[in-house]
Amino acid sequence: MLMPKRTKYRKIQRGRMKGQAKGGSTIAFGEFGLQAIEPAWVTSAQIEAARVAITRHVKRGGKIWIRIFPDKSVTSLPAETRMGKGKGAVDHWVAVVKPGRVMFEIEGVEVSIAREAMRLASHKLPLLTKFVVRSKGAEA
Amino acid sequence: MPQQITVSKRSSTGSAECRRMRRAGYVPAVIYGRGGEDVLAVSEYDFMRNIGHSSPGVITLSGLGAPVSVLIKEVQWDVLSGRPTHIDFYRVELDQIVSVRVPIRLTGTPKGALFGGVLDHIQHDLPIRVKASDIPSVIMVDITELGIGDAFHVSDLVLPDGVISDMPGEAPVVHVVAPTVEKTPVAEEGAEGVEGEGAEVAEDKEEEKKE
Repeated sequence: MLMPKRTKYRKIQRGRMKGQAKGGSTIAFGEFGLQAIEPAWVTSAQIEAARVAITRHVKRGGKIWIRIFPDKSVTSLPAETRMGKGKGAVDHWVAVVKPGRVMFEIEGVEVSIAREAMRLASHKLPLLTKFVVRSKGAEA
Repeated sequence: MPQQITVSKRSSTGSAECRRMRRAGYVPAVIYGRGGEDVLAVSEYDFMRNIGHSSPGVITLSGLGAPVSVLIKEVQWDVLSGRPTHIDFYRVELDQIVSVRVPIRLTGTPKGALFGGVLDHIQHDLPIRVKASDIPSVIMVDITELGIGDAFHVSDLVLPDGVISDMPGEAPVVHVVAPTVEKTPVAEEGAEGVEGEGAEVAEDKEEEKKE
């Protein structure tokens, strides 16, 4: 699963998810994309599940791009532990996704296959999404 | 015959005024180039109906006294609603050489795709230099002859007369690659790994309970 090879600081503060995506909000590589329309933390497991869903649906055809990367560590305290005693250990990694961000792109398949692949992928993600087509802006 | 849209001059500027304009169905715009700058308002309905996401080349603006020939230099879009939020018009003379990006459209199904090849469209638009009156709306590429491993380069493009490409000739526009088949085994391994880790965690918890 996706995670950084090396980080400057192991644990980081939670931050906020105000506003819209500053970049990565247009289709840059493929023909079709899956765009977030609400903010969320997307874990590396969710990204992988969505990738597998897309790959299995398009079978051997098509090319896929993942436009988000989980570079934020999330810590958690072990179960049945009293509060205190410092910050917990790194539990998993997330990508901070803001509205407008194109998370996945696909190319080399029919629009109907791409739409269905993105629908299946969207069910693996913790946020509302929409299917977008290059240079035609947003669609349904 | 260049497309035509009607614009009106506006006196007020600023983000609050622009928000009010957008709510009223107008898109704030600016015109610059030869002859100075000015701030304008464009009907969103007219713009989307006549121009939208297309690349029309030179268009004519009416409503500024004499008709003005302009290029659409940039359109800013709202990433969520897909509505235009701002337009830049660049005033040009029709015989002026301009640098623009023209979309590349593919036609046909490559031969390689019939044998499982995957079409990879690398260059979706081409930067060109051309006389403003001769800007092509699109550059068509016939890809039916491409087999697996074949590529179509910028130097292979058939450009209209007077059009000069601003991109190196060896840059690929589209190519057909062999399909990758490593995806499914990787996914299965990943799934097994997750299950394995889950099992370990469960065992650890049981040990903790015993303690």
